[in-house]
Amino acid sequence: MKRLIMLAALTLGAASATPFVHPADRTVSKPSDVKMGGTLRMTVAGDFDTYNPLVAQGRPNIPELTDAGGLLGVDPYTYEYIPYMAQSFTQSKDQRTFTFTLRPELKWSDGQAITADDFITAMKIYSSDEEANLFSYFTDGGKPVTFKKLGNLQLSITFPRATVQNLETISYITPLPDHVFGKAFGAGGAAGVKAVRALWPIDTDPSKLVVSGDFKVASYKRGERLTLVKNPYYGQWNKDSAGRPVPYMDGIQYSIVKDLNAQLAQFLAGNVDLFSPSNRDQLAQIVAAKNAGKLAVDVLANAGPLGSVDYLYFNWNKSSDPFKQALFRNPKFRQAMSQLVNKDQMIDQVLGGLGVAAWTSVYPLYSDWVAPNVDKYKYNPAAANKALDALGFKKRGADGIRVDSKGNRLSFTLVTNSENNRRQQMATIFADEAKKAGVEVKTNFIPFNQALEIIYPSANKTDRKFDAAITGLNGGGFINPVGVASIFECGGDLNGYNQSDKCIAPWETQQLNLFYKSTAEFDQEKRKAISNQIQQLQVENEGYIYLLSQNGHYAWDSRVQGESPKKIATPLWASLYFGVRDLDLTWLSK
Amino acid sequence: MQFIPTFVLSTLVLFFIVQAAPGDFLTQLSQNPRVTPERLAQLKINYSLDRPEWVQYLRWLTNFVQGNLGTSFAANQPVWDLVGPRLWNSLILVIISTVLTYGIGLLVGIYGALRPYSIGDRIASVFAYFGLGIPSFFFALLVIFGLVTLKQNTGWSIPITGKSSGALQNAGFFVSGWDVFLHALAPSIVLALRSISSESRFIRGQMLEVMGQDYIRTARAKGLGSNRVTYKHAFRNASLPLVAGLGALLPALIGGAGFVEVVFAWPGLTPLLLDSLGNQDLYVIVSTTALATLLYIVGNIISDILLAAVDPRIRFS
Repeated sequence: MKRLIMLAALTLGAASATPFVHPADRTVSKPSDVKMGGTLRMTVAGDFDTYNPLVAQGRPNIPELTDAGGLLGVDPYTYEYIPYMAQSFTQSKDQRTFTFTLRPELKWSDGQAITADDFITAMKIYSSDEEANLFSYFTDGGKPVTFKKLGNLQLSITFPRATVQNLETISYITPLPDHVFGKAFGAGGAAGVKAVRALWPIDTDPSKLVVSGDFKVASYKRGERLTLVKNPYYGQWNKDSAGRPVPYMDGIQYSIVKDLNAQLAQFLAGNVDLFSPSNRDQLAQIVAAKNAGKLAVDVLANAGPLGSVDYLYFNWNKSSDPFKQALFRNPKFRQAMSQLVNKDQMIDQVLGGLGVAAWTSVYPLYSDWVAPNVDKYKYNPAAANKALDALGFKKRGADGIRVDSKGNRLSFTLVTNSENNRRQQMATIFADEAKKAGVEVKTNFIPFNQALEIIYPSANKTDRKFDAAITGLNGGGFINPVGVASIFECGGDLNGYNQSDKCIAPWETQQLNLFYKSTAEFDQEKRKAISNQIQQLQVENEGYIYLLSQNGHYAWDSRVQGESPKKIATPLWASLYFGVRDLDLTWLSK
Repeated sequence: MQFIPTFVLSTLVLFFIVQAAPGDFLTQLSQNPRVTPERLAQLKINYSLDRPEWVQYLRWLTNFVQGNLGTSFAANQPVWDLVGPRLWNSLILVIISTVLTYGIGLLVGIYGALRPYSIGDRIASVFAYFGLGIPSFFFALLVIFGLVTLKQNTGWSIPITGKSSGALQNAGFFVSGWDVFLHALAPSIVLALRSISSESRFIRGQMLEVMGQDYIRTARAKGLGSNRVTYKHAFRNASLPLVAGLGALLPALIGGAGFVEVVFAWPGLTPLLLDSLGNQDLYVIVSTTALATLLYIVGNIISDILLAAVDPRIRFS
């Protein structure tokens, strides 16, 4: 009898098996055209530092390249969240609790089943590890997100509030292998966090790594190459519209090529398959080679502004330098600085005209959401000079730099990351304009990870070491494009100007409250109205001085097939690494 | 035996210069959320940072002599694990470019000395001045542009960047070796260009000077063959300063391959050093520079031995 029940259960399990099927309208290729095999060749600018998803910083990073995603995915045509690793989900009446049933075929790259335990472990760790990227998503207004295992393949997640972003948050939650991370995390606490963060340093034997994604690490040689190969277990729960397992390709190789010119050269020589030109010159070289018949490539130029923005901000937490701290906290000073930012010149000189000015936390990509009249403090050196006079910086020293009545020079250092030419050029253009207005801006270009450590120190957050910085953001959602909590929270993970846990200016609190209100507003038009209010506060106070968004361009070797159809081949749905394509549905014609 | 005090003195100066810079690597590390206070405390003990600087130096020197170069903080790996493969990679470029330099440079130089101011000599001179005048990294960019154009127009694929082909992951020793050689060719030629230019001009000048000496005239008067006079008598004497300069070759692999490695994405020592400077990965900087010093000393010893081999007046007692 026991055997009979077990058999019945197994049969039932098999009958209810539903792998994720990639819809046919996600690719221009018909399933019958597809060729299997081959290796996609790519370049990456720097070395990778870890295999551990909790420790990984910077992009791209290996964990991000090798994880499958989360419980939910998005339909790019309808903008609706759809089940992905989950087979199905339900939402409670109060819209706070989501219950998921996982697909029974889910497997890790070592063949072990992906179960509710893996998601529960991941959420336990993400919500305990303050340094984890997802940490801030596990609290809302000081209350924690709770989660419960309901069965081997069932779990529920309950949010403190019903917000429009909860589904988005769930889509970010990637599982961690319980049999590795859960084991190390043990009883949790600081010791557990420490133990999981110590896992999988970069010298780990790749065969010991356990991932969920379509590709897994085969080898990594510092300074040379990262080789990923197909994870055969992934195809057991991911099929194309014809029912064949994906991905089609055998692997991906990332050659480490630091120099951007060399990266372009490799693409122009046909040695690399994908390239995203970042300026007019690069685009022109590719198009010229294509038009001359020297290179078999496809180019999608000016696909629209990218889902990213660069911004300049001042450090409000500089207790060791009260003069600068007070200056940087003064909105009139920041408004003046905003009026010294010549965005037209930046777009023209830095991006060759292929970009769009940004004014608020809403990326220009979501043009419908950008509030009206947001260019209040646009480039206006005369107004900036007047404002600086009014701030008491009237006199100019022998070097032309303004000083106040106490002899304080109007001088600060602007840092940005040395790997990013675009930001460096913008910093230089700003410094030149500022100098004309009697403001000394010393530029300092340092490596990205180091810049992150200076801007977001783990300790002594009330006395951070930098003056001003240019960094940027990319990613973020389309549900409420005004931003995410960690940008608006005082001391939030992504709040560059104020890392102290207390709000300093009243508008910060106002902005945060409005943001919470917007996330609880399910009516899109009303949500947009709140978003406009937030943007007006941003424009008036210039916590971030938004600079620009560059347009996205994509080029790929013609042997790479299976890109997205035109309607969804926009920067909104393009992958940061693979362009306008879903890697699972990408195939190589030779 | 002079090399021991030379090494000690140079590393001492190096160590104290690095230590004299504001902060130390732990100051920088303390900003890194990935490094725990326990780890910092452990590192302090490991490197005796609470001790006087001379004790720290002795500790570092003892470790260095025993082959322990310290730990890279950016890579969280022993420095030697990072530097070893990079050193070998840089050596590949230096070896190939040295062979090219001496193979081509000497021939061009001797040709110019034997037929001074001929059309061939003039053409060689023009190329030599071009080679001396153009910065290596710029020439490297031109070469990359040339290789891309070549590939686009003819389909000939000469590797442009990197050290190996992604397609050859598990190839045999000879296939891999050939692949690496092909990848090393373009950066080696770029590296060799300047040296070929200078060495050819140098040997030409030396040869012209020696060829005018009395003993050469005597040799010719005695009826010795032209080749014998040129290569056995004239070239041997003319090449002495060249041999003396060979010692600079080994350390040149650290400083010399330089930006050419960066432009060609060759995983040599210079990109590592640049990254380390960027990351303030100080033990990589100190130990690698100490290795360069060691190579300089070894290079000088090799040049002394070579000089003794070609110059009968020099003998080790």
